[in-house]
Amino acid sequence: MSKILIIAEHNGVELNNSTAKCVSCAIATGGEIHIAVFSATGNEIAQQASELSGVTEIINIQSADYSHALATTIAPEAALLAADYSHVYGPSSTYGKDLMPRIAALIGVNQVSDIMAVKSSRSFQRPIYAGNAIIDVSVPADQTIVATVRNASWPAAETGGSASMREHTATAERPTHTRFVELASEGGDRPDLQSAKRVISGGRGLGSQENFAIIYALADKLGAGVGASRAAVDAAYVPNDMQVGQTGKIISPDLYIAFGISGAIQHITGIKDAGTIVAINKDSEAPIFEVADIGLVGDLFAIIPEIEAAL
Amino acid sequence: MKILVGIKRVVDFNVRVRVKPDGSGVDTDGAKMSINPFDEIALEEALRLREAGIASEVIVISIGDSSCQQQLRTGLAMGADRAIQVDTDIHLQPLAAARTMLAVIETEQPGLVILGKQAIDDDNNQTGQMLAALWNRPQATFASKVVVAGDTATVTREVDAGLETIEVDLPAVITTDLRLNTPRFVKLPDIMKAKRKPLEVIAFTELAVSNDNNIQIDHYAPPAVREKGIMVDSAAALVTELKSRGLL
Amino acid sequence: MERINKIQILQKELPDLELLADSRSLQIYGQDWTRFRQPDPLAVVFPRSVDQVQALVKFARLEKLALVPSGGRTGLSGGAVAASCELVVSFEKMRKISEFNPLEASLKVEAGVVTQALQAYAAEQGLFYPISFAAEGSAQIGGNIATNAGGIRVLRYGLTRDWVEGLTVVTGAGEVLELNRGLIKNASGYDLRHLFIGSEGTLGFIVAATIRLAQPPPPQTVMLLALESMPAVMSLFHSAKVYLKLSAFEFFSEQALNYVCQHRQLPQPLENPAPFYVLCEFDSDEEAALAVFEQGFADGNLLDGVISQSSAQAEELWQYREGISESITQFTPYKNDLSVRVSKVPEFMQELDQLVAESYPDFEVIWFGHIGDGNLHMNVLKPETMEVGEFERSCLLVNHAVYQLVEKYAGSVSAEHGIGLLKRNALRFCRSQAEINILRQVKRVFDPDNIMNPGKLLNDE
Repeated sequence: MSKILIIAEHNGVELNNSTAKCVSCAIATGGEIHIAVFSATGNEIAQQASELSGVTEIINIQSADYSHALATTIAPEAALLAADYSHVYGPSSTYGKDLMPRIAALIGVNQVSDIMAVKSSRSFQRPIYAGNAIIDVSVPADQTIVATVRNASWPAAETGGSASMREHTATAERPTHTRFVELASEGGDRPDLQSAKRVISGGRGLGSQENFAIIYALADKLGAGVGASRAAVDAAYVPNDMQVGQTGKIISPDLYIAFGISGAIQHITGIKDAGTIVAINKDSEAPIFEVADIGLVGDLFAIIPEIEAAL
Repeated sequence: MKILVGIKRVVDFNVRVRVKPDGSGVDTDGAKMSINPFDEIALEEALRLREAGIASEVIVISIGDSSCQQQLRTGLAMGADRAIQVDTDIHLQPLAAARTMLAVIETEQPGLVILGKQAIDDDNNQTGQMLAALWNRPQATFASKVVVAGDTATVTREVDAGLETIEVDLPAVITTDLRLNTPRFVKLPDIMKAKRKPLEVIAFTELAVSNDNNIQIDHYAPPAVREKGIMVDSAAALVTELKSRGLL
Repeated sequence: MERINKIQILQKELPDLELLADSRSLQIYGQDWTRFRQPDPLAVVFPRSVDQVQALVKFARLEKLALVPSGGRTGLSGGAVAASCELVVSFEKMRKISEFNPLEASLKVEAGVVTQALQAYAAEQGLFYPISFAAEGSAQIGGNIATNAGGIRVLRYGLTRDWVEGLTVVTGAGEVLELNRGLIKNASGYDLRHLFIGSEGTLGFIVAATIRLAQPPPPQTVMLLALESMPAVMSLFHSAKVYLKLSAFEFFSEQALNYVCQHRQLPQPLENPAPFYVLCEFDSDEEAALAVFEQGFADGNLLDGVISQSSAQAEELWQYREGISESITQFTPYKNDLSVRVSKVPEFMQELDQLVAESYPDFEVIWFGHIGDGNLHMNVLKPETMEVGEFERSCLLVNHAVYQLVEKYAGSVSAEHGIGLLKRNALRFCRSQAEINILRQVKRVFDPDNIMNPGKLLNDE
C-alpha cells in the first residue's frame, strides 16, 4: 500500500492552498497520506494541515533554521523522512519547484514534474513542450516517487479532517551556506503581464487611450495584470508591450478576461493556455466567444461598473 | 574564478511541435534547433560577470551527440572561452545529467555553475537543484538578479510571492529565469574567432556516471481540446460563476 | 437632415444590412492610418454575404450613393478614407476561411479575413502564406488584394497578386463575377482578376478570393549589418544574392534606428552607430553568411554585423525594421513610397538625398524600405510646432521636385501603398496621359455611375 508524504507550503502564518491541492493528488494516487510541516513555530500551520480531509498524520518539524523556506535547509531532513514513504509530493509552486528536485537527488531518483493527472499509483500525466504534448510516465517499482503537483490541475481538498499530530526533531545537518535576506512582495505595482495569475485585457472596443482607465481600475481591484489586443495597440490606445497575442506576449494566467476584444486568431494564440477565458463583447458573433469558457454579450462600459459592484 | 554554463540543444521555441500519430514521441524532423532560451540567459550572465572582472573564464558544456557542437560553437561565438561536449547518444534525465555535471565540476573546480531553470522541451526544472544537492552546495533558482562579491553571491529570485533575495556562499549553482538579462546577439566577426577556441569532447562512458533510476515515458498525446463554454446574461451572473469556480 | 433621410431610405430598402451611424463608429470606420483628412462618412454597413453586397451596389447606383470599401483600414494613402459623406462598407463580418484543398494547397477566404489569421491558418495546415508586412495583424485580405500588398518577402515570394488564383467580385455595375476560379492555367482572354488586384476599390468590391499557399521555408536566419553608404548597401545586395537564398533584404537609416530604439525601448543592436543598416533574412547557412560578411568587410562596405541564433533573436532583430513606421507615427510623417529599377537605386538615392537636403533643410527625413525591390520609403517628419495643413502644403511643394526626379528615373510614385486619396495628383509622374485615359475608361466599364470609391486613384474629371 502506498504511503505518501506531502511537504507543506506556508508563509509562516497560513498554510498555502497548494498543499490542499497536493492532498487531492495524493487522494487520487491512493494510500495513506501524511503532511510534513517544516517551520520555526508551526503549531498553527500544523493545525491547519490537520484539518485537511483525507490526511492521516501531520509531522510537525520545528527549528529556527526553518524560519524561511530554504530548499537547502529543508531538503536534508525531508530526504531522511522520505525513507518511510513510497511517494513524496510537493506543490508545483516556486517553493516546491525549488525544493522537491533537491530532495529527489538526495534520495537518488528523478522527479515527476507537474502532475496533471494520476493514472495509477505509479503512473502519471504531465505536460512537456509548454503543454503542447502530454506524456504518460511511470516510475519503476523499486524507486521512491518524488513529484510536484500542478496547481492549475487540482482542486483544493476539502476541510473537515482531523489528522493526528506528531512532533519530530530534525536530525539531518542543516547547511549554513544559504541565507535568506529579504522578500519584496508584489503588493504595490500591478503584477507583470507575463506572469500574472489574473489578466484583464482591453481591445478596440475601448475606443480610446483615455477609456483604458476603466480597465486599469478593474485590474487593480482584482490584483490583475493588464493586457491588450493587437487592434488596441495598433490604434495606439496602449503601448505595445501590453500586446497579448502571437506577436505580442503569450500568457497562461489562471483567469483571463477580455473586454471589447473580437478574438482574432493571433490573439487567441496568445491566450490558448489560459485556465479560464472570459469574454465580454457587444457583438454576439465575435470570434472570441468560440473559445471563451464564459461569455457575456453586452456593452463593456456598462458591464465593468456592474462587475465592480458585484465583487 | 571559472564559471561553468550548461547549455542544451532544443527545438527552437517557435516551432510548433506535433505529437506522432502513434503516440511514440514528438516529431522534430527538420525542425530548427537552438540553445535552450534559459541557457542563453545563463551564458549571458556568465559573460557579464567575466566582463566585470569577477570571473576569469567562462566554459560552456553540453551533453549530447555531436550535433550539440553547433550550440557549443554558438556559445563560443557569444563569448565563452572554451567548450566541453560530453558525448552520448542517450537522452539523459535530470539526475544523470546532474551527476555528469558533477563529474566535470570535480575536474574544473568552477566557482559558479549557471544553468537555465528548465529546458523548453521536457520542462523538468530539476537539473540545477539536483546538481546543487549532489555537490552539497547552495542553489539559487529562478534568478532575476545576480550580484557576486568576493566569496558570496546575492541572488534575487522570482517567486510566487514576489522577489526573494538570498545570499549564498560560493561555489554555488544558479538557475536563470527570463528576466535576468537579454542575451546579446552574436557578432559575425566572433563566429570566425569561435572556430579557433577549444572544444573538448569527453565520452560519457569515461566519466563513470551511473544512469539509473530513470522514469519511463509510456505515451505521448496532444493537449486536450478546450470544452465548449457557457454564456451568462449579466455582470452579476459572471461574478457569481467566477466565484463558484474559485477564480475570484 | 439629409443624411438621416438617406440612412432611413437605406435601412428601409435593405433592412437585413447591419448599419452603424454613431459618431465613434463613423470616426473609426471612416479613416485609415493616414491623418491628413477628417473622416466624415454617412454611415457604416456590415454585409455578411455576396448577395447583400450585390443588393447594396444596386441600391447605391439608383441612389447615386458613394461607397467606400473598408478592410483593416491600415492603408497609408487614404484609399479607405471616407471624408465626403460616403457609405463605408466594412467586410469585418465576412471573415470565413473555407474550402482548404490540401492537394492544391489552396483555400477560399472572404474579404474580411485578417492577413495574420490567414497566415495562422496556413501554418496550422503545415503550409505558408508568404505575404508579410507590419500591419498584418489588422489588415484584411480584401484590402491586401485591392492594394496588391507586398511587404517584406517580395524578393522571394512576389506580391499578393501572385497568390490569388480566383477572385469573387461585385462590380460597380452590380454584377457578381467569379474570376479565374482557382485555375492554374486559363488562356481564355484578358485576365480580369488582375485588373481588380490593385484597383483600390475603384472598380468594385472584392468579396472573396481563392488563395494559393506555399511550402513553409526551411529555418531562417536574420542578419543586421552596419554600412557606410547606399552604394555599399547595394553592393552588399549583390553578394548576398550570390551566396544566400534570400527571403528579405531591407534597409534603414541611423535616424530610423534611433526612433525605433526610443519608441520600443530597445538597446542599440550594434556597438557603434552607422549611417545605414541592412536587415536580411535567408535560409540558415552559417558558412554562406560568413562569406557575405567577409567579402563585405574586405571591400570596406561592411562595418559590423550580428546574426540571429534562434527564431526569438530573429524576431528581435526584425523589430528594428518593423517598428520604424510605428515609432514615427507620432510625428504625422509625410510618407513617400518610391520605387525605381533596382540597378538605378544608388544613383537615384544620391540625387534624391541631395534634393531633399536642399529642399527640406528644416525637416527631418527618415529613410527605410524594401531596398531589394528598389523600394524606398522616405518619410518627412512634421516639426512639433507646425500645423498639419501647413506641413502638408510644404511637403507637397517639395514633393513636386521629388516626383519629377522619380519621373526622370522612370520610377513609381507609389511602390506598394497605392495612390488612394493622397497621391492622385502624382499619378501623372509615373503613368502617361494615354495610360491614365485608359484607366478612366476601364473604370467606366466596371463602375458606370462612379459610385465605387470615387475620388480615389483618379482625380474627378
